[in-house]
Amino acid sequence: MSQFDYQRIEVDYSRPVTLIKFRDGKILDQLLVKQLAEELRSVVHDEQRNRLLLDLSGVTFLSSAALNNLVILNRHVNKAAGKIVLAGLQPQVREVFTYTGLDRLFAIVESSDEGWKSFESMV
Amino acid sequence: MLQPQPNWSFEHDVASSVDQVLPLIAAILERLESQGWDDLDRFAIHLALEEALMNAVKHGNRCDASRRVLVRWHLQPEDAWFEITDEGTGFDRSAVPDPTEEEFLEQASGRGVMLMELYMSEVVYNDIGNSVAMRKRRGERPRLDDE
Repeated sequence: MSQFDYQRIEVDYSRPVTLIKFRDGKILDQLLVKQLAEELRSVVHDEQRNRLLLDLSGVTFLSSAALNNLVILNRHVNKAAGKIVLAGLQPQVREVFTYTGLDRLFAIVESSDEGWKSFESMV
Repeated sequence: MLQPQPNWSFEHDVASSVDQVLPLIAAILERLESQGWDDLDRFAIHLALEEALMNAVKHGNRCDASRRVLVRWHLQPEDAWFEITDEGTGFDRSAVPDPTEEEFLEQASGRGVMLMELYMSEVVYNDIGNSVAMRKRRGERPRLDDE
């Protein structure tokens, strides 16, 4: 359970790895991107969660501003010796990660089930 | 078989605000859908318009609502053309780093411009860089140089 009330994300705390689902399918509006970034940052900084499985299966569109915020979040999580795994990307969104080279920065898996496994090797 | 569609040309200038820009993108996408442009084409145009208009609002006009963004477009059955002009001082495309290079991968700069150029068939900037013209040919998919 959490005292935090998030509008843009759904957070599942039932496992050691925190599962985050994005509520919005299209993440492009500047305000929405900012709000999403603040909520993700809060999960990492305020709630001290640094093993994050981001379920992007419902996301059909990501602007570069949204990508930039994921990159920043990844940097913070890495500094805290944590890890972000992205799961369930729609083909078009997956393609954007490939074209921008961000698939080299993020671990990307097909599904959340696969995502859980990718954390098992972490100490 | 697709029926011949009438061309749709339009010119619109909007204030430098996200609220003004987003309905314009929605209207264009709706029109493309009604003309039978598929999901991948609309995704590409959506991405490019979003990036170009946000660049105009944020970087070109510095979110100054008194400055305008001029948007012109011309839609044909097999070809969509857009021109977006802001009132800023422009930018030098050659100075924008390649965001896929290892040293720039974590930087914010250049990703939007790269996506526009990748997903559209042609992207041309004017001399000072405050206006971008983009063309999308129906069915043409993104291609990386080394593909």
